Amino acid sequence: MKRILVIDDAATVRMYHRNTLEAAGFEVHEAVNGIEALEKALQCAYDLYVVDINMPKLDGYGFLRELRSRDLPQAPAIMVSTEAEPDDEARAFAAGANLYLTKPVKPDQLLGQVQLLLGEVNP
Amino acid sequence: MTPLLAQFLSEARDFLQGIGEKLMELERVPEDKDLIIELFRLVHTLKGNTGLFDFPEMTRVLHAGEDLMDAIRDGRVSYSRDLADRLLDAMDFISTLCDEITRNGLLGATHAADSARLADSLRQLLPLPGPAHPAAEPGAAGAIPAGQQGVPMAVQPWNLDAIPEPARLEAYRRAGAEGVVLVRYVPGEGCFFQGEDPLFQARQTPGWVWGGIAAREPWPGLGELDAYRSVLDFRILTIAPPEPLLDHFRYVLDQVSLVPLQAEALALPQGDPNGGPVYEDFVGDALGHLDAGRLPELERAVMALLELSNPDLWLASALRWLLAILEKQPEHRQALRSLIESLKTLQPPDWSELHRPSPAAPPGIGVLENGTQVLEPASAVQALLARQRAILAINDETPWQRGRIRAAAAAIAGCLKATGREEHALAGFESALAASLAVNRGEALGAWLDRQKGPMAVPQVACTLAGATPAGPEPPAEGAPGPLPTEDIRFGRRAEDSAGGPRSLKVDQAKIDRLMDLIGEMVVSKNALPYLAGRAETVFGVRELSREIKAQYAVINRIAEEMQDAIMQVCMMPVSFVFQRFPRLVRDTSRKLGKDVNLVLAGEDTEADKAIIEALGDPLVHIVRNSLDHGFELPEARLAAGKPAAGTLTIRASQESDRVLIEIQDDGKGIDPLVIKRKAYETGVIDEATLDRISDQEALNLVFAPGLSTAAAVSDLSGRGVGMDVVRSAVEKVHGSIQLESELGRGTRIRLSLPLSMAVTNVMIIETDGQIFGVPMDSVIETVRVARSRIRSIKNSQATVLRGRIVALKSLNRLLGLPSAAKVNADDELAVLVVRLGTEPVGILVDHFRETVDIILKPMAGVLAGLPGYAGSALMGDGSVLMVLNLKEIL
Repeated sequence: MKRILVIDDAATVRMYHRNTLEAAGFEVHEAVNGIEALEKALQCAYDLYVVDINMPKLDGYGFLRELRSRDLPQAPAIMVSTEAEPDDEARAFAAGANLYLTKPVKPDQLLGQVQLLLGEVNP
Repeated sequence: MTPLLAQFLSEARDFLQGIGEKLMELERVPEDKDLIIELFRLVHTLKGNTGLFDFPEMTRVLHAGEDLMDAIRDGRVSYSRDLADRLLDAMDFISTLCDEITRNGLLGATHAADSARLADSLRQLLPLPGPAHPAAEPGAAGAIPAGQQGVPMAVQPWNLDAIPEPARLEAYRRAGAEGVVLVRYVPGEGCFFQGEDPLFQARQTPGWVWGGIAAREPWPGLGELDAYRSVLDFRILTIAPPEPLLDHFRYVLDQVSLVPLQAEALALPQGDPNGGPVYEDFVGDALGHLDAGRLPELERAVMALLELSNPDLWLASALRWLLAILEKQPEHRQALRSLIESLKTLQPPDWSELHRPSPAAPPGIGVLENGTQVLEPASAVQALLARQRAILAINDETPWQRGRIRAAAAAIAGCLKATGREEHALAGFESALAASLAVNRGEALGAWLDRQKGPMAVPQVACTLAGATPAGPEPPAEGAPGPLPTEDIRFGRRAEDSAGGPRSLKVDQAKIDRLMDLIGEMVVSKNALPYLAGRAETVFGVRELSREIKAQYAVINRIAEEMQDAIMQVCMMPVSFVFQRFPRLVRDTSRKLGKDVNLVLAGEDTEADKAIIEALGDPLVHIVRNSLDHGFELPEARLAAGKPAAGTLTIRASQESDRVLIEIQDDGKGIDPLVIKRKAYETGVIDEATLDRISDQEALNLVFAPGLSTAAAVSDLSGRGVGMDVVRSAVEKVHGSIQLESELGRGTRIRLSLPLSMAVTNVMIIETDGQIFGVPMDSVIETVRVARSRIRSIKNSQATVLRGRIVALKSLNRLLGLPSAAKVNADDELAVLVVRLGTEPVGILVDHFRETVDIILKPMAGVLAGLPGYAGSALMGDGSVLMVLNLKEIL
């Protein structure tokens, strides 16, 4: 089963993504900030990350930079933001995101992209 | 209610609480940058959460709040008390909405107006966008207000000639070789509920030159107008090529159509025909110049005629276009000829043959029969691959560049698999990746991607992403770290490091209560074991078994006690739970009264049983309000009395053995015993004799008497006649006590003493008429033996003198309707249990005193709940039931 780490400081958002992804048969883990996410990534190989930007302690950019700087399996990351700022988007890609979605992310939309990135569908 | 909604509400309350607290803190240290950032984050996250649901009223207010916090964060707006007031109001509103959702599962339709009002009130504090801001949206300023541009907000066919000439001219001049694109964007009717902002989306269109909005249908009357349904129809003229446009509208592709046009298609002269075509001479000359290739002459002729013409004429418009084309595409003879010939008929030239030839159409753009190209939803795989292509092009040589390349490769691999091209593409892909990693640059892989065909072919979309400067490092302002910034990031394995604050579990109170009851029963029923051990020995004569039962009892006893202790810990809460509301209360109230009061909280970590903490809330609020209303003087009066203008209110909690002490102290004007006495006399609380007799401290205690309020005028804060008597009874209900000390001119101190836990009640067991009863220890003053001879009968009642005071005596047997008289001991003395009833001691005649025990008091249930004389019952260790008396009721 493919394993996805959902990183967001809002429990509601984590639950929202979890509902979507678990219904599609993914194993979902959660982290509440970049630090916790990095710890989990060090302990367990994930197939995909769904990352919020604005979080306490270590934000989404910081997490991705740390993750991408390490000699770990590098799974694709979807960055989810509330803002559609072009600057944020560019910064997200520079930090190591592979896709940038703007909240609220509709379940179908997220799922479609997740399945593509994980090679799960034949469009 | 779905679990997701429940989660949302629970989290929203935490956020609102946090926002309130942070705002109060910010009031003390308005410059604290971290605090402001944290506050922004809370509002921002809460807004994000509301966006997942259909609560536009919430989202709207929070959005305004977020913008405001953003402005504070950036230093565009400075923090003020007024701002805090408005933000707090807004959060109160959100809180009310949360309550309503909790009750009804949805929001009523009545909040839209409040929501709009609050959002407006927040936005009023935002700075008006200065000239610097609209510049960020090129061409947007003034373009969208379609009314001003001559595009009325009504149903109107969308044609090129609906676009004002200056805009078309500008687009023509700025257009690149690819021409221009006319975008039609029709957002879905429910788009506002999906968190979309169509206007923003439209205004952010790359290469924007002009935009207009119209309604898709005639506007209904105001009465039927549904403001939440989008009927908007956007038209945007842009000079950007279709690819970035596809990218920009990638989430709403089904609502967008693109019509790519050659730039000269914009050359549609408009204006007053002025009686019809009369320019035969000019047309002849102009065509002559054109055919002979004498373009400078043509230009001069055009300029000469233009100077002579009224600029509003159709002719002038056509001449302006001629000039523009001469300037930009002088080689485009066909265009010049068509335009010149149009002067003969005053009909705009037919540019249809000039529409972009289709072979160059990039993927995702189809061609309709009429030759115009219309966007088809681009394949998601292609969009995703285009992204990865752009990511591979970033070459900032950061420490994470290698990881970024590998992640992009992983994403590409996913797409390969998804398109079923894994096998035959794999070899090339692997070697391209290896080549890229070898030099730590993405080009090799990017080039491989460019060579792919079919579904893997990447449109040259957004290879330069907006703002992604492919080669430059990130701006240092954003903290792009050179070496790994690991110093300040710790990677412990301990959960405490990673969790955001203490980890906790929210559990329904009923579940805890049930667990508590079960543990209580367990504690009591284990007491049957020693009894069983005794029987094993005495009745069945098995001493061995008896010993084993006793040994086992010791183990069970220990575990049971630990369980009891553990469940008590679960129910313990810090007093900060009630204290946290005071900063806001004191702030709001003192401002309303025009007083200046600093609040000092201490000992917030002190813990007590949840039931106690909850019972403490209202009395404390009342005391604090009283203090603010009556205790503190106005700043002028304080200065006149030689005190600092700002008063200090201290609320301090501490633990003393098994009691929690709460002290509320103010440095206000104190309570004048004389005023209290007079007031008490006037309201009939005391009689004239008492008025002369009582001490000052006794007078102060009169504030606890029912119906006494000392406020000169009834304010809306306190002084409505419910006063300190209510506070006292609330405190006594949880077996607490209250004391008041006051010094005139110096201030007042109120001390509450409460038990740590209500789970265990300490009772004294008494015996009368061969039955046992429990009496709560906190009402017992003393136990005495009184000789029968010292008991006096006055009319029907009995009394005795104890330590110089007359104490009324009551027989418990008579109170309970038991027939026998109280027993005397060998010395002809009666057992008197002296208890406190209100402020007066009362003696109760019983047969014997027994030990005091800790019991778990259970209120009477069912029919028995109607017996007011009993506070409840408890199971004793031997399995018998102890009835606990409610002295207030039976006396």
